[in-house]
Amino acid sequence: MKKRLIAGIMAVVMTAGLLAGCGGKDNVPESSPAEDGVETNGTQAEPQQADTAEATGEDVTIKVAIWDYSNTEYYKTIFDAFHAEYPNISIEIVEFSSDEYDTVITTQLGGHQDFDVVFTKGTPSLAALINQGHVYALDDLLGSDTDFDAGAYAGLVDALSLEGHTYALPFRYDNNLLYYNKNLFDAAGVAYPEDGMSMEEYHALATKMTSGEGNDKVYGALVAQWMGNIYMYAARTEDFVFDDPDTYDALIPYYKEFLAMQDEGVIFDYGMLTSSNLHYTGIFYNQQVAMLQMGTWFVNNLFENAKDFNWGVCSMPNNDGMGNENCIGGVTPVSIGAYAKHPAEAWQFMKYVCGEDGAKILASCGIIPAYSLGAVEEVFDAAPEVYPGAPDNLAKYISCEKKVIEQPMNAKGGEIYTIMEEENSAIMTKSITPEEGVQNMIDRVKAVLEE
Amino acid sequence: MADSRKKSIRTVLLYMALIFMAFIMLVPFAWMISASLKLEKDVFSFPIIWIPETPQWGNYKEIWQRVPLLTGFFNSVKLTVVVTVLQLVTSALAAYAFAKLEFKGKNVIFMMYIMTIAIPWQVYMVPQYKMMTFLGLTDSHLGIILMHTFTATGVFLMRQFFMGIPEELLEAARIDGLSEYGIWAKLIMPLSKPVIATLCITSFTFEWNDFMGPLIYLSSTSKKTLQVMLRMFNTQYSSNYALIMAAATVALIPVLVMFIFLQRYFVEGIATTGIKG
Amino acid sequence: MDKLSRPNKGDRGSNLKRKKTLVAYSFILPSLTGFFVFTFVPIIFSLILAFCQWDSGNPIQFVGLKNFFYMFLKDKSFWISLKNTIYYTAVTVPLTMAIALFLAILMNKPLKGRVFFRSVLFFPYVASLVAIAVVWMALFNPEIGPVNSILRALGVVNPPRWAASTTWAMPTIIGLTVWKGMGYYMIVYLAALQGISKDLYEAAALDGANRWQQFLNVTWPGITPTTFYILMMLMVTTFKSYDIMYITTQGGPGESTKVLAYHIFNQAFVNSKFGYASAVSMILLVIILSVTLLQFKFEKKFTSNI
Repeated sequence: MKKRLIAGIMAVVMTAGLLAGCGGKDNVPESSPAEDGVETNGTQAEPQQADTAEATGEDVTIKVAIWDYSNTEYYKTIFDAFHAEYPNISIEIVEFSSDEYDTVITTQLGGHQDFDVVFTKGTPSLAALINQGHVYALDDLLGSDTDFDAGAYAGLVDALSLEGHTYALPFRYDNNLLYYNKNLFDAAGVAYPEDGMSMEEYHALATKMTSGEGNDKVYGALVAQWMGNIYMYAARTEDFVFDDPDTYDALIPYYKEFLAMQDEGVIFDYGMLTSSNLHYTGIFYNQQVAMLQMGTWFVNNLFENAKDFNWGVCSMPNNDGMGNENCIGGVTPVSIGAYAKHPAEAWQFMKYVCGEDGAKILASCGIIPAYSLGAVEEVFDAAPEVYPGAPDNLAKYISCEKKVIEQPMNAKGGEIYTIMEEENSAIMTKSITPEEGVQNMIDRVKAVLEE
Repeated sequence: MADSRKKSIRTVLLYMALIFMAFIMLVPFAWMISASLKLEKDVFSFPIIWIPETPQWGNYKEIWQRVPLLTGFFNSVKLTVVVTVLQLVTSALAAYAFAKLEFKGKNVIFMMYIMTIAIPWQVYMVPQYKMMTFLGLTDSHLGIILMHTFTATGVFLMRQFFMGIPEELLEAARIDGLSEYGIWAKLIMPLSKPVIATLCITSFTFEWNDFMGPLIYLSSTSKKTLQVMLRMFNTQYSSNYALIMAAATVALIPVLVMFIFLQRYFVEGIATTGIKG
Repeated sequence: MDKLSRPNKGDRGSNLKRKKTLVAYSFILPSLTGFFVFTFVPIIFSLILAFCQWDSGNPIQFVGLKNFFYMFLKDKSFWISLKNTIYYTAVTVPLTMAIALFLAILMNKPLKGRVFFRSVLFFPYVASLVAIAVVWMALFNPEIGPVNSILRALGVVNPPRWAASTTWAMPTIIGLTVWKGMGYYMIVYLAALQGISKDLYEAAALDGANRWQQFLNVTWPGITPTTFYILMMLMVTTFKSYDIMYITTQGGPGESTKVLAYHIFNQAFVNSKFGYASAVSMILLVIILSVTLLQFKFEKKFTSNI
């Protein structure tokens, strides 16, 4: 009883921390930005902790390659906390812009840049770096380090291995949910969406929620323009596997449903979305859509921006009658660079950032860590106390039984995704039928895999 | 009488067409400014709202606080000015030899230059980075300057212009006893103001707007350029276009000022400076 | 002066030639040295890569002509992107050149507000590509764009779906490219027009040449070297550009706006096939080199005419 209370208080305190130092957009960092990216250490008061026995002791500076650092407050918080814990390890941040991150990192590692820690944007990028020999295998470290518990990651560490070797620890895991605008449902007198809807039910619900004309039109749902937002549905129920062309037929019924919805005008037209750069965030915040399927990164975004309405979440609709058992999403992996000067310290850093301490800080900022932690759930359940528009059942959706990886590790992941994106755009603009498009995907991906 | 009326009608039509065109050309500029004064959620709202209800002037303040924009500004100015000047001088020298002098290996060397413009940078980006690492020129402005100064396009542009200068002028100067260096400095360069202005504009806009080069080669924040910092507003899950457009609008000013300044070298007719063919 | 007064020796000719060559090289050297080290060497390396397999990390493997066999025989996307590139270039280049030349001639006239109009026309070239693309795509939005609204008002029942149609996506992209680039080439043409002596026009006018004849006999020959420059640069930039597609269509719908440069980028940085990417870029190299050779031929003809 007492424990529960403490956990509850902690959760509230941590959630309140959101306001203090996690904001992206609205919070301007107080520290002089000119120092960002060069050194982050030194500003923190050194705590008098003695238990840093495992540290090699020498003063070293590790070089960390990352994106979005100067725009993301939680990185600073985590890294500062790490330095406080291990005062002998300083961190040098090397930041590249998000869109070009993969290109720059490939080039720099091609030139044997001595990054100690390398953050990657997802499994395809990681698999490519592994194949190029640009990141270290972690097997020895995993084997010899007794305080590391891979079990705390719900299978995600194994999911990041390739050909029997492990190369990365998972930092974040973002799964996908159906978000909805409660105010719009209340106004229409329609019941909120529920877990385990069939696609037909989803379609009918979206039709009910579509209203208005022209500039005042409110759409029933938004299917974002990227391929992932289509295959996600079938991938969650494991009928579709990203790198197995034999499973691609599972996409056809979903395509048919979405195309029908598009024809009836209950979801945004694909061509209109791509031609006008319409971003789902603006549409959702401006209350122009009732339902939206999106990743859990959107949670933290909604906390800060959705101030005029209440929102809720449920699991994604599907044709298999699946409720909230599986979640589908992507991982942000962290690795050790192959040309690292301080791999031992890099490992310590990774363990901290991807472990319990890092997870707590991430959760307090509304970000879902890959590390499973009871405290994380408390934080998310307490969200409405800080953000009045947020639902009170978020925790349920971030800790489902099975965490499916949307793009399993495959060295050709990037190539496969490009093909799918191309065929997807042809299908969604009705240049070809779903059957033709899926057949093209099968043929082209098979050709790539056979090479 | 009828003739002059016809002429004035034509002038009116011409100006109407020009004003219409100018209007179309300015639409993106208007969009940039409008977007820079919006909340992020309203940037891409449809239909386009040109005048935001509550202009977010704070965006212009915020960009300076978010990233060290001033440092970026200075770095950009430094790189742009140095590269433009060096490129101008080296290109003009080389172009003169290619256009007006006879020497062994001329065509082969020129083909070498031309060849390089055909290869997309993505293809040799990694080898070039490896080489620059080997030379210890990464994360330094010098590296960028060395890579961007000696371009084929600058030499090519100037060569093509020099080709049009009549041979007779040069012969006359040679007979008057001018050395080739004298001809270059006293005859060719003064005649080439429009093309110098063009190369300045080309080089300036390229260097000012380039971001992939500085992004790959400059890792420390204190060395980064404006365009690289601008990209930092674009994050993985939310692109902050309101701030990007505010910064882009600010970044546009130097280019426009430079352009308007260089305008005076495009005054009509070169007869006053004296080619007498 | 003093070389003329020198005594006439037997080896004077070759001495003079050597001196001439030295002088010429002294002009080239500052540019050539830097160019050779920082651009040419890496490019040669990448040309060798065309015959190798390389992923930027593991050792380079020589594979002979394998990349080319794969390109010509197996890579369907290569042929699609080659076709798209030719389409894109074949329309964009002449269109941009014609408009740029027309604008340059117009802007070379003593118009009121010339500086303003020139600056405004130049504007899209320097404005942020994102801004340009957003506005252009908004104009051509298939559902709610003003272009289609006008077409519908004019009685077109099913106006083109522009970027959301495999047929019209490329023309939409071409329009955007021309719009963005024409102001710059106008400036280059303007510089060339200014190099033409006014006396030549006066002489032509005295001979009774009308405007069109003046253009053909004075303007056109005067700007021929620049036209070559613009032709080459436009070809190269349209061949090499993929940022417009990257921002607007991502090569879609389907593969309808996927161009070679996009394919090359994907091969290198998404698929880690740097060798293959080099091989594909050789196609562009061959095209550019043949145009240059042609130009050399024309140049000789052109200069001998004067």
